[in-house]
Amino acid sequence: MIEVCAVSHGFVPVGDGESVVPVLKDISFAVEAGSFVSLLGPSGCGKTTLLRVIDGLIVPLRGEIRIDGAVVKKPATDRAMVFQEFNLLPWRTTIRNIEFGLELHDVPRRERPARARAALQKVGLERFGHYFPHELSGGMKQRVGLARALATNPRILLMDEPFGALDPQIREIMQLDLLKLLDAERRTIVLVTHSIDEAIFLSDRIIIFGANPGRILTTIEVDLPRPRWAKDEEIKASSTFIAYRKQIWHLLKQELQHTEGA
Amino acid sequence: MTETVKLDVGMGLARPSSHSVFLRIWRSHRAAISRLAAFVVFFGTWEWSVESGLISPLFLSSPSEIVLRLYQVFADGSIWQHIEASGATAFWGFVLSVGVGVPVGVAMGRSPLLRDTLEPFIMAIYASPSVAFLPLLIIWLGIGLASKVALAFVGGVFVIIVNTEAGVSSIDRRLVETARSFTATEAEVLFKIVLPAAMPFILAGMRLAIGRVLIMVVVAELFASTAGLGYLIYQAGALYDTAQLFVGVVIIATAGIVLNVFLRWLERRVAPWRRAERLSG
Amino acid sequence: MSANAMKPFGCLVLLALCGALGAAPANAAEKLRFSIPSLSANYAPSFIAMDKGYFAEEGLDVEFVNAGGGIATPGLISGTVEMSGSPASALSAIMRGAPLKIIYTMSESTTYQVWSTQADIKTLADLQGKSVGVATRGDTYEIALRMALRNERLSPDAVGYTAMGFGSAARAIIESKSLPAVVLPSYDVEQLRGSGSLSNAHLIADLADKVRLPYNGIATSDRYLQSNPDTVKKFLRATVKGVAYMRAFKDQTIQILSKYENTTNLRGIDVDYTEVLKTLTKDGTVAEAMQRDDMEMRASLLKMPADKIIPANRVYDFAPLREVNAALSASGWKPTP
Repeated sequence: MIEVCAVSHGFVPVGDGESVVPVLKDISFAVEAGSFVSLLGPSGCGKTTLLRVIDGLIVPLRGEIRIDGAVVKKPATDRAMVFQEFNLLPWRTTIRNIEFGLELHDVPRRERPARARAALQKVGLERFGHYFPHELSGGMKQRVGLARALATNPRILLMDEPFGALDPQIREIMQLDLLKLLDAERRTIVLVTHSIDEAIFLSDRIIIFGANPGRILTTIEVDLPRPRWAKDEEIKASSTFIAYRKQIWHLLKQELQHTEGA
Repeated sequence: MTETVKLDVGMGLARPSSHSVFLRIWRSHRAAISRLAAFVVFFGTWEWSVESGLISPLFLSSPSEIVLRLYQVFADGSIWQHIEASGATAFWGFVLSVGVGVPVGVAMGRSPLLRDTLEPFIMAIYASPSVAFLPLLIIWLGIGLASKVALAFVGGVFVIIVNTEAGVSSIDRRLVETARSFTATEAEVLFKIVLPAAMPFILAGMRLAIGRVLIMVVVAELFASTAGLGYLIYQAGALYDTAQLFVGVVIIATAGIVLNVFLRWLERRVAPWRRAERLSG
Repeated sequence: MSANAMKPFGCLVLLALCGALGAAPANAAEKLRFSIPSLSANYAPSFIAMDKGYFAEEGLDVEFVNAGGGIATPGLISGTVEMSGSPASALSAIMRGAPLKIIYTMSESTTYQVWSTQADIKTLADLQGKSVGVATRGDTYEIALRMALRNERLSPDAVGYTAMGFGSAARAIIESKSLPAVVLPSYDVEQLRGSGSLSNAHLIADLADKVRLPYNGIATSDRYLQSNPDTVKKFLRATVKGVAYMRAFKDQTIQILSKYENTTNLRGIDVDYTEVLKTLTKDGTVAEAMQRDDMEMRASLLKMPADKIIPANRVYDFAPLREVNAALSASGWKPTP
């Protein structure tokens, strides 16, 4: 279980040693083990920064993260991140990119190829093990990013707008594939996204952020039945789905107009 | 029965097979033919201008004389001691340049403070005529291999430092962040991200350094040498043995070309993705 | 007091192939360039000719260019320099077919000395199998040492001749004692002694008395000789007057040298002057026997078979000089301080 406890963070602009520009203000929430939570909000609301705080890449100015009671001080092997720009090493083949995480987690050399291949299979890219990233399409690259994360068998998966760099149709296919993949496993997922539809479709719970400074506006429980990937078109056309979307959009619209107008 | 249209692979157009052989040869080997023609024109003009007396043989040898002399020095084996002498200097000078230049470049690339501190000194020495250091090096290290290797080192190391630093500081920070998110230590970041990412730049630096090292080897043999290709060149010049002079020049130039080609090949092998990056934009 | 200044070393103008071949208009002063490889008493006659106006009297506007044989000889051939003070370098080129002539020989021996930094090397015989520093391969330092060795019935090839260059690199080599022995002109010896660089070295041989060879002088191109014969004679006449002055007036010469060499080391100049004076030829010519001996020694260096050596009259042309000498002595001219 992830506990975010009164996290505040900001940065000091270059040249101005005194003032701090606030990015996150007093963020607190909890994520139950095994649940899928989305962090949704406009640009500048600090959700990306928050994800990195949870991972341990950033130490917040105030507050802390606790995972199963232990305070997070730096990245650890029980969690893995998937990035919007894929961040694959261009000089490694697909299979070697997947092994990258295993290497850094000190998994014994003998075990790495098998685990990497298994992850590769899970994302459906068995034939592309010896390709280089520049030979793959955007969607394929992200699958590799996902495989890299999954190969390390993390209890917690942190995803930073993972489908943001893909075109809309591929994006929706990837959402389906993600759900299919995660169905069989019990992992805790925290996903950062811009897309209302994506948040509703994928998550159990959506935490909605406002910007300037980043703070929680509200939390919405998504009460749609699982598995959702089999009947995706039905679900997306359902009135419940549409109602959620309306609700969230109103909230965000207000927030955006408020900040744009101000 | 379906008709098959014969396509000319190079042009993508249907072509009647009655076109002349020569035209076909030309089209498929354009680059090679024009290069060959340029060669012939260049060497032909050179040969003629010396043979006809337009240029005094005191100052320029004809290609045929040079080839003849090349054959002679290799046939009687007299050239090997000079190749070995210059080769040893070049080898050690280059190895030291890389051994010192890469770590310094990496350190400067990773630490802005170090870079800002060292940069003015490095730029100053980089821009100075290295020849000026030779007398100083002779006083410190004598006239043997050491002072020559030192001068070759000075010639090559700064190119490598500059290129390595550029490579290291231009790496995608997101990759470093990714490695950190997978719990990488500083050492792991260095060896798994920084060095592989900077490798194309490092190789480019090495390619440039080879040229400078070779030049410095010749310069170092200007004074107090008893063997080496540079020594051969200077001696031949003093004694107006122009064919010998050009033999030395040709051998050094050939070495430079061969090493350059090799390193370019290495660059391509190590970094195929960079060409794709540049092509796809 | 002429405004002609010494060009800095390595004057690139020389290498520009824009040879100014023709003479200047007859009524204006004739311009010509004379290359001088080093500042020492060897070139005192030229400095005197400049200083006392002997060049000006002849209607010559002479420009001294600081350049060694390696640059002056190509300069002669291309026409960017009309007269060269490095005849030895021209000689090597002439023997390979260059269209040049030596028209004046200043000295018939050198002021060279052989110094060693190793205690076990005491005579020329001890040099066998060792490396000896000279300025450049095949230069007069090497020729003089070879002759000295030959005269002692030692093989000239038993010694390794190593080029040290001039200037700071040579000093560095000498000071670091990297070579067992070096050949130095007496002027350099004085300077190095003064700066303490020779503190652990000792003299092995003074070549001034041991060998006789043509040394220092003036070379010019065949083309210039043919197109400007009168200018050549004027230049020679001014030089001959300079030599006479040098012989006659020691103190004044030393003053002039001090000015042109831009140094106040009068004692060093004095020694240099005395040494050079001893080596001067009587009238600027040398006997054919000496010419041949020198050429044969060079030929062995150039790996030229004896039958390929060109006759001496294709190298030396003293005819203009002889005319000048005859006319001058007939006129009874004497130098004045």
